[in-house]
Amino acid sequence: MTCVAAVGDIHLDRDLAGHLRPALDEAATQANLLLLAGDLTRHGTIDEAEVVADELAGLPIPVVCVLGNHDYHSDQQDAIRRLLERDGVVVLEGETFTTDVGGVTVGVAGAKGFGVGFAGRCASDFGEPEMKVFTRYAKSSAQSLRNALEELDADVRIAMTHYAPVEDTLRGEPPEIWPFLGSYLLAEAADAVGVDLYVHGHAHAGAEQGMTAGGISVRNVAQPVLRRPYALYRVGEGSEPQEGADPVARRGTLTAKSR
Amino acid sequence: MDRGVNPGVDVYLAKQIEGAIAGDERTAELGVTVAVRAGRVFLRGTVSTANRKQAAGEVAAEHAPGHEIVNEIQVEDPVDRGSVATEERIR
Repeated sequence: MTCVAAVGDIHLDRDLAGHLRPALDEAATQANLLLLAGDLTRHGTIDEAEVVADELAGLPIPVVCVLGNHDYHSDQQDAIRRLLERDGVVVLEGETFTTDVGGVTVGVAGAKGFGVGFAGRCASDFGEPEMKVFTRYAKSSAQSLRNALEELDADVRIAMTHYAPVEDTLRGEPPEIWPFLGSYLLAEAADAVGVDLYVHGHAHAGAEQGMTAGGISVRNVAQPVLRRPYALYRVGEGSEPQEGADPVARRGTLTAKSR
Repeated sequence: MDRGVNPGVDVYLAKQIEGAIAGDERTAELGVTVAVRAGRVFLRGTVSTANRKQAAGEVAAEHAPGHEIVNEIQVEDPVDRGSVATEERIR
């Protein structure tokens, strides 16, 4: 069985440098994989990303993340990605990552995602150019996730976005802003292809547990929701937990961007 | 026409301050809500550090001259809650 540690919305800056690392060191002894569901920084600056990279550097398990809207705020998302990758962090945007955990292939398909709302109460690809740009970006992002999921060849399959795929995990947030917190298109993509677990962040006042229409377990791992440093989820078949912190476990395979 | 006091003005000021706290580089907090009542600006929500709470108060004060700032933001750090004792089996 695979154990994943997951957290999102850690929003690090110099003020919090070194603060999360002891918890992450503990996570590495418990989990086979660390997932970070976006909003690693506050304003998406290089300085903040350096704090994040330092916080994650040298962890003995694979660290896989997507970026969030805050990480895009300073238009430095590409540089942030390169900076994190320099320190061995896997950044997914329409890509997949797979790793071997005791003979079981564990795979993650990830993308930032976007808002658009949920079935019956969402933006439409109609009218002003600005509305169409908004809606089409949401569609494109969901398609990016779906493409990655279709390429994901793994025994244990995990989807990760920053934005939410379902309304369940937004409970606690004002319903009026749900269209800006997530998109049913992301759930549709996951349900079309199938995964064992879907993790996301973004909704700080939401709820941890939810489910897609197709029955996929969804977990909102935004740190303010968890009210703990990270969540631990056991996924897949088998009764014996695999050892974390295997010195070779940081190895894995990142696919080329699917689109 | 006597327009008198427009209670809507406080609502707009509150939204302006919320927007400033979200957009200002010192804060970037999307989870802080603002209410303006009788010349007082109330800040509510949760942030991770005392510095972030203080910064939100400063930003609010800059956008609401002549108003008293009542900073009721709570500081709550999930990382300080210690180790994760529980795990969930996903089925």
